Amino acid sequence: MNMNERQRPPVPRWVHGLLMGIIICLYLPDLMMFWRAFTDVQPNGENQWTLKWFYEVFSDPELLDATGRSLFIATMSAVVATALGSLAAIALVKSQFPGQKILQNLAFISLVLPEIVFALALLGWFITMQFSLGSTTVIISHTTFCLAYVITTVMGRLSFFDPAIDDAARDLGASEWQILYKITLPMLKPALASSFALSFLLSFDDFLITFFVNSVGNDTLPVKLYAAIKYGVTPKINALSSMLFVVSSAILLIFFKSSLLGGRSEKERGFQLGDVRLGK
Amino acid sequence: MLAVPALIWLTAFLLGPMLLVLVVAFLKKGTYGGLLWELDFTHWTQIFNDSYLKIMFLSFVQAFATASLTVAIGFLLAWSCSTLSGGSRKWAIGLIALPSFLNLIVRIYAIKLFVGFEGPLQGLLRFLRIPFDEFYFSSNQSVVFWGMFSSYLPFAFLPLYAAMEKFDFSLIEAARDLGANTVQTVFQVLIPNLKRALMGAFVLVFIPSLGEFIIPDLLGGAKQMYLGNLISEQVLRARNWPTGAALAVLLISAMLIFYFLGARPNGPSSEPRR
Amino acid sequence: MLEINNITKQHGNQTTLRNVQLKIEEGEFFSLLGPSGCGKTTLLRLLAGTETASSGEVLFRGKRIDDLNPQERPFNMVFQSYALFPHLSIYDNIAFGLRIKSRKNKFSESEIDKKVEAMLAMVHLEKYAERMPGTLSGGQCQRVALARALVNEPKVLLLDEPLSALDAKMREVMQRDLRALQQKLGITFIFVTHDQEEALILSDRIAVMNQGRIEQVCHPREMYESPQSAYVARFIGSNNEIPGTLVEDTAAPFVTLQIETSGVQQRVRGQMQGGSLNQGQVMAFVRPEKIDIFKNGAATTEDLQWTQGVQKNRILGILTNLVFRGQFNDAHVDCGNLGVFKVIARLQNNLEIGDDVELVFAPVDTFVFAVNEIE
Repeated sequence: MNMNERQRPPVPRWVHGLLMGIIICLYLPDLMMFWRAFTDVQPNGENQWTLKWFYEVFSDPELLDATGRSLFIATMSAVVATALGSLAAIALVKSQFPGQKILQNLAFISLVLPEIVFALALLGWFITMQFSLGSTTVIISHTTFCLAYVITTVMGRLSFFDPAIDDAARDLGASEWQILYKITLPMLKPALASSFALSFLLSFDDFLITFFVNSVGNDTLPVKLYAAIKYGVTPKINALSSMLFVVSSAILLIFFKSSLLGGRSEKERGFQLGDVRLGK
Repeated sequence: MLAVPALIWLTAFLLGPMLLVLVVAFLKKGTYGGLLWELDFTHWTQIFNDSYLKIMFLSFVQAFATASLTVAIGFLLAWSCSTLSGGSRKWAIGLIALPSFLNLIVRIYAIKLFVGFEGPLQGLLRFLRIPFDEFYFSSNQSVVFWGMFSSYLPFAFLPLYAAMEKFDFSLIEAARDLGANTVQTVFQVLIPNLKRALMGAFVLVFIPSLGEFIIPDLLGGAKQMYLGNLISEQVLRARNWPTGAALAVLLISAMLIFYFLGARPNGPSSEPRR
Repeated sequence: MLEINNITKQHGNQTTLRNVQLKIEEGEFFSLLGPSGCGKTTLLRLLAGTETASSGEVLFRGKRIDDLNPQERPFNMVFQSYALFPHLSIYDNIAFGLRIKSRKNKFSESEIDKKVEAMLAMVHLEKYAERMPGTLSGGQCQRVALARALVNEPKVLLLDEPLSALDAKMREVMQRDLRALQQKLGITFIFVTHDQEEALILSDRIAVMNQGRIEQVCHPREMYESPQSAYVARFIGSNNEIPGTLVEDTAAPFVTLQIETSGVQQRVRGQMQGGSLNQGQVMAFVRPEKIDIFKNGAATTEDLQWTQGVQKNRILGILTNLVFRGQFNDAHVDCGNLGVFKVIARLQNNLEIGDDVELVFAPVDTFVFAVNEIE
């Protein structure tokens, strides 16, 4: 593969130029938003560098509430999704069982389904089943769509494992359960961590599904943002948005750092395994 | 047995709800927004009236355009990245892929800000003394399209990059060696061999953008509804579950059609063509 | 002490093992030899318990073990990929089996420590206890895998092509060490390999396998000197082949074939190997080192005589190449329609390329097999 790379014929200049141009265009609005987060327009029209908006964010009880709620929901969803999904992935890779095909298909469907359909279906379901809407239904919904990402990520990692390792453990006397918690799960630690991070981010950033299945007044952060954008923006929204941007980037860098240092990135591997839809 | 919890979960919270939608699509709307358990098809005929059809058509066009453009540009970007060396390549990929992990609302807000009253775009136009209508940008379909394009670009880019990385570039050298210029090389060697990835990326973008809600809602103002907005409105505001469900069923059908079109098992395109 | 009775294994509609029958003795170094796909690894895994037979049984010291799962068998395996646990240190890798068993047998941590340290010393890796598998070379990983298996004091050690991933130098060293280790410990080793030279060097006995069947089981020397089938003859050592037609001859087990060399009909005598031959097409095999090479006309009557009144076989050819190999030369002789013969030429320094030569070899060194046995 390296040989191949070294021999790659260069691409016409303008294509690289396009690359640069696109990247700039993609980031321009965000950069501007950053700038806005730190400036205050004075009555005389001048811009002054300030942290005022950040203070306002931290002193807004509703925003803080919403943030806390989002964090809680994201954590719970990530925990449940990672737990259920990793076990399912292990089972899918290592054994045959009835219902295997169904599981694979369901996981796949949840990756490609448009969010609006998902949101509508879940809302209808909760109403029919007479679940009262609230954080619990949000957590259930988030977990559901995160499951497929966890399964894909963990299965991807498992495909690189030497199958002889399980045989070796058996040969040395380990029962299937011992193999699971002494060998498989420890070896999966990085994949579990990135599944958790991915689920957390997906849940934290989710808007549409949350919008549908949450109860009134129980807003999460994205919903609050949406409302602010629709009905009245204040400058502190810039500050809030910038903070979200930085925090998400930080989480990403921490958990996916290993991929940037060399080899295939988790994202890329995830994408190779088929249609994976990320972060909306 | 390890998979049992996940299986039960997905059956309960994915399969169940989906089946419910299918059923509801054929029921009758109750007076106060509930459901009457009788078969009804009137809303289906309603759906196929002018204004709804227009919305569906526009959604289709927009999704198609988004998918086409993101795949085309994504292809060029992937090509560019795959010929960069280590360090700059990782930066380029990282920068393109990063936004997809960030909050969509934040990104759309940034765009809205950018083209808004106090944004640099309007500022620039004022500076250049180009006359324009201040409200033009607040509910503008081109802005919506830009939002769609920039949000979906990473999803087209990443699979194309992955495929291109595996591509045997010696085919290109062979083509050059045989006298082909750049254009011919691209269209007769590069593209045919990547056909499968191209179609996959197209479908990957097309399907979700059909049902997109947030971007048209925030950037497009109240002027133009797309399918996602329509469904949401029917369910949340008009409390018309059967119609909403019917539209969702249509969306799913379109999705299935395009999925199967794009996911056909490929013979010739999986082998290099010389 | 290990009896494999009539084992058959099927994967779907493919039969990987057919009616395998073997008896392996205590303390033997026993090799399963064959090309990829012949079933040798499947057989090994069957002994380990990671695969189950479709029919047949395996007895260990008289008791059935084929219904036991791998954890319960008193065997341990060394895997081709070593299969070291990447997240555990070398020490923890080796201690793994002991710690699992300590639930039942209650090894104390200090007992475990003693055993592991002893193992590390035996494979000369004392200083590597805290290292991780990812930092070790292939040869070192191999030794860890060995230690990890042996520390559990298995009654039989199963080795699945353990040396195939090593470079030639390392492999030679490990071959010596393995043999020495086996003799020192006195444990039965069952060794799977596709390298016939390796099998010949290491084993007390070899079983040559072909498409799920055992072709021959015997000591290396016997296998080399009297292969029972064309397959084994071809597999072990190198051969020159002579096709011919059987001519009726009553001096069994010696038979005569009619062969054609460059338009000339002549007769060649050989020894029938296993089974009976009817009239018809046969193939004779002779090893390079069993052929004496002379300049045409230089062979004396003594050189050509085999027993009373019977001559050795003699074929004419042209010397096309002499490859220097240190102790001897590889001579390539063009024998017309018989193709190029490879001959080991010792002190024939007066041979030159292009010379007419005669190849002389005894009937007892010529193995004859029926053509339908030959794939």
